[in-house]
Amino acid sequence: MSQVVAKLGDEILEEARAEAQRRIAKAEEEAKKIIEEAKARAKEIVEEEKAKAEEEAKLLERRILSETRRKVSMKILEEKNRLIREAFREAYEKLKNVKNNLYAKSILHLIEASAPTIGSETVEVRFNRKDMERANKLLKGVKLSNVKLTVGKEPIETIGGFVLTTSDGRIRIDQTFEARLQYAEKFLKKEIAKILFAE
Amino acid sequence: MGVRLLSLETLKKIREIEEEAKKTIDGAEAKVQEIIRKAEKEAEKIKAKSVEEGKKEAEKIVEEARKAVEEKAKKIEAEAESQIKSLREKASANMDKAVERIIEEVLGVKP
Repeated sequence: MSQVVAKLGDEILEEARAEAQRRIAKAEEEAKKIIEEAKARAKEIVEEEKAKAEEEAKLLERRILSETRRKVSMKILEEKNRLIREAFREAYEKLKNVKNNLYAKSILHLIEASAPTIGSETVEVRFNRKDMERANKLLKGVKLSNVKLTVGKEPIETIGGFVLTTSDGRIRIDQTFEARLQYAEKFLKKEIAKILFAE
Repeated sequence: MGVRLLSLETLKKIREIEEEAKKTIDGAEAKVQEIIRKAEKEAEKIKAKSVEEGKKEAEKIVEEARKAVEEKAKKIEAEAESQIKSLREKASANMDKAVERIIEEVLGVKP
């Protein structure tokens, strides 16, 4: 009997040991799988981070380059405008010292061109103090049909040119050099830019 | 009837064997838990390390891109400066002509 029990005992223990080995081996397999999965996931994590960084780098490049291009375009435009303004400023300074004969020619031309457009038979021309003193000389030779020209008694503040008004003062044409320069600055800008920046 | 009763000693021996077998299985089960726990811990370490590595790689990529784009931006700025210089030179050469054209327009007659 005891031999039977001993044999049975050995078998049970052997089976238990085998089962223990199986479980451990299974666990080792599972552990190996966990590590392999972790390694694979780790690779994915690195790749994902790299892909995100590459996208970020592209955005960064686009943002910095577009900002730089915008800034330099503005700078170039500002410089062009500054040079154009400089031309107008220089013209303004030169207009203060136009030679007498050219000045007279200009006044004559401008009066003859603008007085008929005011639509009145009597037109008052107003000059600055200097021109008021030489008004007769300036207006000598003006050819106007159906328009009577009188010289205003109050001087105006201007470097040159004149202001025309109807006798009731309701219509006014500003032909001072300042007004003409201001107007020219608006519509002549493109042409001046073309001249200034030509090769 | 042919039935033979097991002696107390035999029963005791069988119980001891069963106890030992259970101990062996329990021991193995503890080891199994330990193996799995250790593997999971190792897996976490691997993943955490990869997160760090990923971050480092990402920083490197962004930093290299930043340096490269800053170089490009510098080139664009240098080109603009040279363009501005050229504009100034042209404007300086053509200023008198431009001023003359403005004066002509204001006077209404050619100087």
